[in-house]
Amino acid sequence: MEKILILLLVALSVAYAAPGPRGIIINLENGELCMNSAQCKSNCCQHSSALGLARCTSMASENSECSVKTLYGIYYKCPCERGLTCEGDKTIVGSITNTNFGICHDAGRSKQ
Amino acid sequence: MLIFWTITLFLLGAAKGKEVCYEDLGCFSDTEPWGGTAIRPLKILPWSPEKIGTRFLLYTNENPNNFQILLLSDPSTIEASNFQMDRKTRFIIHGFIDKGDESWVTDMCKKLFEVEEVNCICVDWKKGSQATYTQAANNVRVVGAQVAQMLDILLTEYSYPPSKVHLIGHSLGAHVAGEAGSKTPGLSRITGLDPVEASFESTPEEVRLDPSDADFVDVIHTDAAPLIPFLGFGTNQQMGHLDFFPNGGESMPGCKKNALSQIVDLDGIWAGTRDFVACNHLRSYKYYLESILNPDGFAAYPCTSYKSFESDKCFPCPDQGCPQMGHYADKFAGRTSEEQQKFFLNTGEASNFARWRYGVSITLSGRTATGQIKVALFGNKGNTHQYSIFRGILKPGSTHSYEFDAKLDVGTIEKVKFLWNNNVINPTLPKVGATKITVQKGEEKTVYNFCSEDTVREDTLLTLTPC
Repeated sequence: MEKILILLLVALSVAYAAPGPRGIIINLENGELCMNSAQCKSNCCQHSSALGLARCTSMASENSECSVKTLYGIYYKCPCERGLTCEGDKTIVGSITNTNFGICHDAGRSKQ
Repeated sequence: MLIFWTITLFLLGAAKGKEVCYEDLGCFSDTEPWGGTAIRPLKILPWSPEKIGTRFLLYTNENPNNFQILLLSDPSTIEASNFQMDRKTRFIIHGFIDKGDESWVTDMCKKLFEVEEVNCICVDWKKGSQATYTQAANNVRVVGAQVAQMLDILLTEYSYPPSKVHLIGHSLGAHVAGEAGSKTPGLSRITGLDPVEASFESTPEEVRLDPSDADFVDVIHTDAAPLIPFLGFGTNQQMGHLDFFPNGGESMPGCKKNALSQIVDLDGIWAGTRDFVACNHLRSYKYYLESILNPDGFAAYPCTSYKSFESDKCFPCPDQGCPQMGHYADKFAGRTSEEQQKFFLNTGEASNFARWRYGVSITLSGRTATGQIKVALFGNKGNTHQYSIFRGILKPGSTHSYEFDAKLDVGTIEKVKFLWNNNVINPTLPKVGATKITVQKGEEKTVYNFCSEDTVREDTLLTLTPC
């Protein structure tokens, strides 16, 4: 009880001391809770399961697992960074369940 | 006359001060420098060992999940335990409102068992630490004396030398380690994880953690902003032979999330609540935990200030190399320097905090355009994300330099990919290229050069190969 009280008091002090929160809706930093990728500075809102909490995360780098961009705006695996394409599964069921995963590849790699 | 004598007696009483003595531990007074000073105005005596209830919980490679209790009053508990005389011993000492069987303490033992065979003793003084802050700060002296007593028993009863002992203390625990170290000649190492500021900063060395407390003292500062008005719990004062200031030591990346995102933590609500209250302060032990399994992921650069470090003035490492923050700090060749040294590095914002620093220099070609340029490194161990190097007017022939902290060590760099973009529609479809990109890893002298004669359109990757 004493411990909880102390924690509560410290928490309140911290809350007062903290500079005004930047909000919980837009311009979210990596690690903050989100519901749509448009909210995130990184442009990707990711969750690990359909009912799990989603957080802002970095886009996928080359040779990493990825998803194609969808209208859902929330992903199990993030889309690729600029200049890369996500190549892999393309199924109707996958596009409905948002599970068309692939690997990020350099779109112009054939030029090498 | 009566008033005169009353005042005189009062002053005499005030000047006298109080003292309390505990068997085997010595005497503790509440006079200067322990009390009645500007930094420690209250005169408070530490509690008795029985009231503090200090426990020494032993974990070893043989019993990583269940502790054995070592008693100061009964040295045979050491003999009967799994304590191994031929191994090193690391004590982990928690801080204010914490406990010896908190998950981070036991996790640290488990991580240590993955890399070495060691005696891991968690010092549990939760009753003494869950009190008013000033009382807890004074209880530090008794707990420190008890740790010193344990080391003395090991030395006299079992010939176990202090040179095989490492004390790791977080918050108030760092000053417990300092107190124990000052009473134990020949102690090998103390690691202070964000030593607490209130009641200790700017006090004499006998009160706080300082370099004379052990042969080697390293300190990690993660919450060094002033207590008022920023509620920075840790100290900004250098207290070790090596002082590390990750991300400048005041504000850790990933600690500025909005309240909801902070409390609803990946590790659960309890860990999230702790993070909400003291995220910066708790990072110190998280960095240490991760450094155990990342021998080369926390290279720190000697620098006069974080501002200089961020301005790329302290790159690459000097000839004597860079120390690794955390578990492997004692491998640094320069640790014997007489001067106290300051080191800076950047970390990640969430688990997998380790970062590897690369310096990049780009010479542009092609058309003049506005936008930003990004680079990704490819090596024999993997490739990085794209990092933004420059934003503004892209002029052919101009050179831009930048340092970034990658999430992995790519190893020997084999190629570099360049990309540029802006958010403007370009009807003329301009092309920009990079004639040369120079890359250097922070810990090496080797400079890698990559060249290309091509130019690319916006959002297309250009691959540069070794010149």
